[in-house]
Amino acid sequence: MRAYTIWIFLALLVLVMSFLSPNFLTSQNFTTVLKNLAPTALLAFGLTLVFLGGGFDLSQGATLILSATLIASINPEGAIFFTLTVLLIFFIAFCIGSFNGYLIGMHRLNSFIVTLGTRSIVGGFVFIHAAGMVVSAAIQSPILEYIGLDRFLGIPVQTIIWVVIAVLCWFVVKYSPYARKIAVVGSSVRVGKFSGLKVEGLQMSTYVFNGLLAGLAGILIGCQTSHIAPALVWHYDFDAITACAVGGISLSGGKGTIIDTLSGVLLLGFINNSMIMIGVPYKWQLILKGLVLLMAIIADMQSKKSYA
Amino acid sequence: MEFVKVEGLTKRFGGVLALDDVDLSIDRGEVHSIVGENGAGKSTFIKILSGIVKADGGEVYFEGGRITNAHPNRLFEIGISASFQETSLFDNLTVSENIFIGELYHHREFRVNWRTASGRAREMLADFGVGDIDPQEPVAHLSTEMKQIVEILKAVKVNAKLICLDEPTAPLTSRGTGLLFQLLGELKKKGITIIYVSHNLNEVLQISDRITVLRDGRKVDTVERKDAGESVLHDLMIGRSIERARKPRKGRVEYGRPALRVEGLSDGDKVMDISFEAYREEILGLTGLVGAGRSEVAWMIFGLTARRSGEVWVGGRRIEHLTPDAAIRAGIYYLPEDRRVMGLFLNQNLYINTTISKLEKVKKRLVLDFKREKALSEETMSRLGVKYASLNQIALNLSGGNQQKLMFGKCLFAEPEILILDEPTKGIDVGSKEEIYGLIRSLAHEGMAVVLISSEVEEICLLSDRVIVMGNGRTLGTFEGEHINEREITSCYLQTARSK
Repeated sequence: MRAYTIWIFLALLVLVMSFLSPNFLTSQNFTTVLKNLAPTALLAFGLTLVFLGGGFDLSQGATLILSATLIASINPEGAIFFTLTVLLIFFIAFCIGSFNGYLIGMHRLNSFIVTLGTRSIVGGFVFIHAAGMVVSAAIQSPILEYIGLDRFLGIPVQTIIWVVIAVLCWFVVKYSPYARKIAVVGSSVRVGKFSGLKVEGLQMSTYVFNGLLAGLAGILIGCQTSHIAPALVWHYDFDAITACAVGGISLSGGKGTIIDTLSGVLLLGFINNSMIMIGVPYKWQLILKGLVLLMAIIADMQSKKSYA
Repeated sequence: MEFVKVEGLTKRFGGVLALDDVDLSIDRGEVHSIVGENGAGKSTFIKILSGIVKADGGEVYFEGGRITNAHPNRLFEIGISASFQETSLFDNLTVSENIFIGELYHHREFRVNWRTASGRAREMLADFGVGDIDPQEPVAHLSTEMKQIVEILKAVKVNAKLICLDEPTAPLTSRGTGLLFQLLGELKKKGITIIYVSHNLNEVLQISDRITVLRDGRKVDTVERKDAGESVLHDLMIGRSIERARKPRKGRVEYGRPALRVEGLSDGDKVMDISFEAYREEILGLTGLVGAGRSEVAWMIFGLTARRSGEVWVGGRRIEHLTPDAAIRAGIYYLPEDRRVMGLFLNQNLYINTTISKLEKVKKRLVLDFKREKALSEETMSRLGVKYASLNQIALNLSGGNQQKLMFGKCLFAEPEILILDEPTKGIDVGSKEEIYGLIRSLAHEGMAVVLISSEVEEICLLSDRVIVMGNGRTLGTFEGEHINEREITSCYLQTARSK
């Protein structure tokens, strides 16, 4: 029921906006919206799995920026060099995710605090690497430019990447025994143990998965713009968390589908786009998005009350 | 005027009558013991008296005033206090902070005068012969016994007129028990009335003035200390007429190789050197007082807690790395005592709960086959007679008995050969209870080895082919054939409670 409400909201928003702004209902605008929400979408899909397992991840924004600055500053030319760079970035993202997962899954530490710590550590490394400056490459290598800006069969490459990942994630979350186990552990770690599940490893894996997706999201950003301000950390992870909450992923674990997340991602993408179209100042954008997040949380609490 | 008068006290938990029309009067200054088997309603009685649990019917009068279902704070103020089996101390606070938590000494207006509190605590501790406890010590540093003493002092410290103690000696050694009795003597001298709930007839006979026996929630009788002997109380507790007809038992000779063999299992704390065998087509009962270490044994066998020593063999093979996962693969399944926090994913639906321990059965290649999953779940539900609206409903919305059956379903879905059931009929209504008895019998009949852990001796006697009685983490005795009766089993564990 919740899922439908979000799609209806989305339809209403599109309807209202098409009256308010002549440039809204154009294929060009829609293409831009769908392309721009790529990083948010990837983060939100990763986060869905973490939420499903009853955890939280605040560090993904930092992982994203680290990955973005790395690829932009290395600026690899040629397929081999590019592949190596991407592998390096995935390896780093894997390490960050494993570190989180190890502390949270194996040692049962609080996921908020652990990932808050990693966020700060990884964020610090970004500043070391970028020397406190905006990372910027004078001329982007063709391969980065292709991923960041080009189209394939008329569709932006970035859009294709996130849609493919979305389909994969949807399939895994819906059909894999793995995701089923994650979800029940998110419902109750204790019952999970009594049911013979390896709860520690399962929870840990969600952070690894999330780290890898944050790394990929960072690569997309690094390809798109050669100017990466480390302060952007805050923007993407906030949007991803809001998208999950709006979509109806239970923040207390155990419930949620990729379709839910997708509805939240799309709604948030169009809200962002609409606010820019009608010229809402940035400070008001922040306030509005904050309100959207809070409303989503309140709705989550209400729905829990209704069955408790 | 009677000091405490109880009339027609009745309490229902779900479908179970915990107290059934109990009348009782207690005189000022006496030590009045309440005895009975597990589940006789003893704890419920004093929980109602001290306001923790609300009665469904009947009245309680204290010094002539009606106090039925009054708020615990009010009862506390008029001089009724209680200490329960589970200690309610704050581990990280000091002894004196714990003792005075309910009535802090105020210095001027706002600040608590801890110095006075600590001084008073020191006096009290010395008064009751435990002057070696430092009132400034955090409670966490105390031994279980000393905690129990502090718990009782906490109940004493206000101008208590009536103190209710629920199994106060359960965690105590003989030294602690001695200290406690000394303390009770002091209290009695001060004219304080004591209601003492216990399993341990020997202790009860030592300290009581009068003894009331409860059985199945009803009062059987109240006897004077001088008229009561251990055997008299024993007969009253068990009742002569309730031995139910049982199915004929198999002789031991029929058994082949054990399905489960446990050797020298210890955790270094609650379980000491437990060994037993369980055979196919057999129900092995495991009983003993609460805290005897029964669940702890099961947890170790299922790999939930670490062993200090001992081995677990399944069908002649030793399990090396004991984890729940390995146990399930070896064919063991453990049905936990508390379905709400250990057994079921309450906010997940019925088929998710059913299949979780054996997802391989509903996998097609690498993915879940929902059609098959639902069909198999439905089959399991109907086999167990679970009443439900839809497989998509969450487990929380089932009734207690149906939740219990769902938990059995989850367990049977994993196709175990050895089934360990921990209090399988706890908190369910009488009808479901009978159904579950039938189920357990048929599972054993089909060839499963069933280990039945229960504190209800009646249940143990009704179902088991062999019974092991545990106490203090050890095996106290094994019973077979006609020796499986409530009298012999109860006296076995009561004996050890005495020898403590």
